[in-house]
Amino acid sequence: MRISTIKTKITFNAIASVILVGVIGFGIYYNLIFVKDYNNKIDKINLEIKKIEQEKMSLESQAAEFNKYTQLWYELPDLQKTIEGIKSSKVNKTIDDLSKKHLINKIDISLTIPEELKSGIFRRSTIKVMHSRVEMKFSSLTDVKAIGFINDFLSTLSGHKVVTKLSIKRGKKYLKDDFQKISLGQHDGNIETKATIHWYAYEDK
Amino acid sequence: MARKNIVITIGNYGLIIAVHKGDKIENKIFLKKDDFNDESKKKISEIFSKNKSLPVYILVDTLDQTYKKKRFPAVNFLDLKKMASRALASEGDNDSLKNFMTINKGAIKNLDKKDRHWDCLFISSPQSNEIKNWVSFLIGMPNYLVGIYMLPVESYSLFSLIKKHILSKEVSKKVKSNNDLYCIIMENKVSGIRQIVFSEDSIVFTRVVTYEFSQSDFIEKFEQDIYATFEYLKRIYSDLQIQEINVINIFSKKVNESISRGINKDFNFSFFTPHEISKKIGIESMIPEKSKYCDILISKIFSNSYKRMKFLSPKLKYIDKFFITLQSSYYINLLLAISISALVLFTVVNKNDYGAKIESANIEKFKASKELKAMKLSTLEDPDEKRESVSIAFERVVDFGKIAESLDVFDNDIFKFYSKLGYARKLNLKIKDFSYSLQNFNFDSPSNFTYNYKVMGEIHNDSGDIEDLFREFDSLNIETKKKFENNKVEFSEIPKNIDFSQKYYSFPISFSIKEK
Repeated sequence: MRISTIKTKITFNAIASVILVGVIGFGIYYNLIFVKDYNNKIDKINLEIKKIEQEKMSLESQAAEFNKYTQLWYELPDLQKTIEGIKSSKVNKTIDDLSKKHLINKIDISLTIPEELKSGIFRRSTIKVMHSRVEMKFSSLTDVKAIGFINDFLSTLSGHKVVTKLSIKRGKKYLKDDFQKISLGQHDGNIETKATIHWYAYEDK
Repeated sequence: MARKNIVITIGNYGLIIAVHKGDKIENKIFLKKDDFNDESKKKISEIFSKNKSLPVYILVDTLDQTYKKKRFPAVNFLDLKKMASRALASEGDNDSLKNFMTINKGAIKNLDKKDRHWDCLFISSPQSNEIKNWVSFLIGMPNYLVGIYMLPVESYSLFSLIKKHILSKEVSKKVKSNNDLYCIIMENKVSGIRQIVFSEDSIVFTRVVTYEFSQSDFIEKFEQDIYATFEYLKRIYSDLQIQEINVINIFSKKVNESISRGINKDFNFSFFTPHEISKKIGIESMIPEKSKYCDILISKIFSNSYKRMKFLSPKLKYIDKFFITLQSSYYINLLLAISISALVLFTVVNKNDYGAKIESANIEKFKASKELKAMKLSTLEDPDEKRESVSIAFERVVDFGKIAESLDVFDNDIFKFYSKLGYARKLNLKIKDFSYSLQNFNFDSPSNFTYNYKVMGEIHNDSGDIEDLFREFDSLNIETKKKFENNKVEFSEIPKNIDFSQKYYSFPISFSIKEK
């Protein structure tokens, strides 16, 4: 075999070697990229699975919450679920009606301007929580009537009510004249009652 | 192992080109010394072109080969190689073919340490014009010229086969020998008759002899040559007996019979024809029954056997370096190709593996999604009984629930508490003042509160006995604590300055009920 032929073959082989090394290099690079790409894909899927699992857990807790609150929903009186907000006209009318019923006199009642509560547990998605403080002061013939009046008043208000202060003071003892005046409707009564009520009423969002 | 190659046997009378392909000889040409002309070159070129992938070996069987024995100290083999190479270089005639081999490699270990030495056989052969012409011609061919080999040296393969297949059964049984020497005498078409003496390990000696088998005195000359060889060998093997030389004659049947009849019976002789040898070593079909020459037999055995000693001219050495580079480049490329295959395999496996991983992850995702969907349907979207009966948005139920949960803790049933105080009246307590308050109440964040009930009144004794007053007070105290056992009850004390002269008493008292 001629030396020139051998040299030519060596040259061809060297070129082939370079090409093959290039192919190997490319193969290694491809594998690295490929592995990285596939790992990313797997990570992405795993992340999605994690999200789904979280959603499932959230849904489970929501379901548990729903079951719990559905139970509570049944137990709540209708008045507490009524959505009608705070209407002072209705309050006044109720006071008039109830004062006659319970022989209440010298009624002094005030409501603060209703304000929407937007923070904490009052930040709700479907309802607005309105708050007003009700201060009342009145006289009655007996403590039973005073209690009955407040009780009936609270039971007419929609939403939740929290009595934060209540004071019932008995004045001086009734005399004979007092009973006569009472029968004529000219005596206010010797029971002085003061109450502070926080009223949480609901409106649609 | 049957191999594919071309062996050119060059002798003083001509040459034989044999194309070996496995067990067959595909082509064989005999050219007389003077027949190497343009016409024959063309013919040979065609053969080579047809078989350009086959390597070419030149097997030289010329007269002017020199075999010299030299002794070296028992150094290690690498040092021996260096010493021998220096000795070869010092012989001059750089153009001639030279090489060496050890002839006592097997025996050296059996010698005493002080007597240990290397016996080497230095072989040289001048490059005749004929060989030069052939080398130049073959370099021009597309085939790879592997190198030049000496026929007597490479005949060791023939000797090994004879020893293995024939002598082990026949000759060695005849004489018990201290010196195992074998003298093969054979006739080749390209070079005439040759004597080659082998020890167990290698060639010991060779020479070309000439006989005219047609003349009646050839036996005498034949005997003389054997004695001459024996005398030469005695220089190496001092205790050698003539019977210890196993003389293996490979001639035609007729010549063998002539020798057998006329030769001294003291000699340890064996006779074979080339055909018999080929038959016994398993290449029967190569050699015709009437053939008297061993050229083709040796060529075939050389083709298939391990090549013992390569001789390279300076030009061939130069080409050989490039050829080694070329071969290396083939191996490198083969290695790279295998690496690529492995890489491809790895990629495919890896891809499948990752594919399976992704599929598994997707299945897991699908399962999770399905479960989520089912859960959504069963809890939120499906019209289950509760949802139907409530028939309002889930969110609203939760909104009301959460507010109720926070605000229902404020027990507005003060009135129930107030009515509970009825027991006090029975114990002669007149309630004058009742108050209730929630401490720390914050309307927009209603939590952490405490409540406090306070009752103020007067206690009196209707019986006119002061003891009753204390009894009533004690009863009130005990009863209150009993009624409100979950609360903290605090009573004010009865004043100390009691006027015991009075019959009826009325004392102000107060108590508070708080969270524990």
